Amino acid sequence: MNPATDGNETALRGHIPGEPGLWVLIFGDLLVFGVLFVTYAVSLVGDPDAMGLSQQKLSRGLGLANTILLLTSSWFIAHAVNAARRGSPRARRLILAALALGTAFVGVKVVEWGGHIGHGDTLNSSSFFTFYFMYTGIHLLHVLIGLGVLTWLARQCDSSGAWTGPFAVLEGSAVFWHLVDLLWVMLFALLYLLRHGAAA
Amino acid sequence: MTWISKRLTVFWLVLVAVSVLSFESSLFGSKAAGAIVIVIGLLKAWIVGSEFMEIRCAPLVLRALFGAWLVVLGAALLGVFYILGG
Repeated sequence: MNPATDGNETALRGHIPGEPGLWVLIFGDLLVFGVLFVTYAVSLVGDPDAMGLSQQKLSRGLGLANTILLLTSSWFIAHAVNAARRGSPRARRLILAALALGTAFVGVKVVEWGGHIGHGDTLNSSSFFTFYFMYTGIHLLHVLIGLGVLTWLARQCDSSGAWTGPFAVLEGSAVFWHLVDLLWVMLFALLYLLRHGAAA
Repeated sequence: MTWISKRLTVFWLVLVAVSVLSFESSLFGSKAAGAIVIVIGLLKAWIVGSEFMEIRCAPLVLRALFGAWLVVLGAALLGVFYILGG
C-alpha cells in the first residue's frame, strides 16, 4: 500500500492528489473562471437595475437544490476515494451514488433552462441572461465531462465493487469532480444570490 | 458505519448549512449582504478545495496557489462591488 492509499492524515501529508499535471488544468480552469466571475461582477455593478430585474427571474430554490446535489455528490466521491484506499468493495456503489446525484443536477438544470427559455429569456434577451446561460453552460459542460469520467470510473471496479485501476486516476477524477462543485458554489453565490444597489 | 469519514461529513454539513444560510442572507437587501454572499461563497470554495480536494495535505505550492486564488478573487470581487460599485 503506497503512502497515498491508507487514507490517514500523516500518510497524506505532502501528497499531490492525482497526477501533478492535472493541477495545471485545475488552476488554469480556476484562473479562467476567476476572470469570468470578476467580469460578471463589473457588469452587475455597472447596470444593477437591469441586471437585478433579470436576476429576480432565477429560482434560487433550484440553485440551492443543485448546490446541495453537487455538495453531496462530492461527499460520495470523496468516500469512494477513501474506500478505494482501503480496498473496500464499496467503491463502485459510492461512485454510482455520486454519478446519480450529478445526473440529478443536470435534470434540475434542464428544467431550469427550459423554464427560462419558455418565458422568452434566452442567451440574447438581456445582459444578465447572456452571463447566466454562458456561465452555467460552460459549467454544465464540466458536469457532463465529469459524469462521463464517473461512468468510466464505475466500470474500472471489479465484480465485487472494489477499485482496480490506478489510485492516481481515481484521485485525479475526484479532484476534477470537486472542482465542478467548487465552481458551482461560486456561480450560485454570484448569479443567484448577489444583489447590488437598488435591485437588492 | 465505519466507512463514513466524520471529518468529511462535518464539513459537508457545514457546507449545506452555510448554503441555506447564505440563501437567506440575500433577503436582507443591505449593502453588507453583498459582502456576506461573496465571503460565504469563497469560504465554501475554500472548504471544498481544502477538505474534498485534499489541498490541505498537498505540498506548499498547491496550498499557496489555491490560497492566492481565493484571496485575489475575494479582493477583486469586493473591490468591484464596493469601490467600483460605490
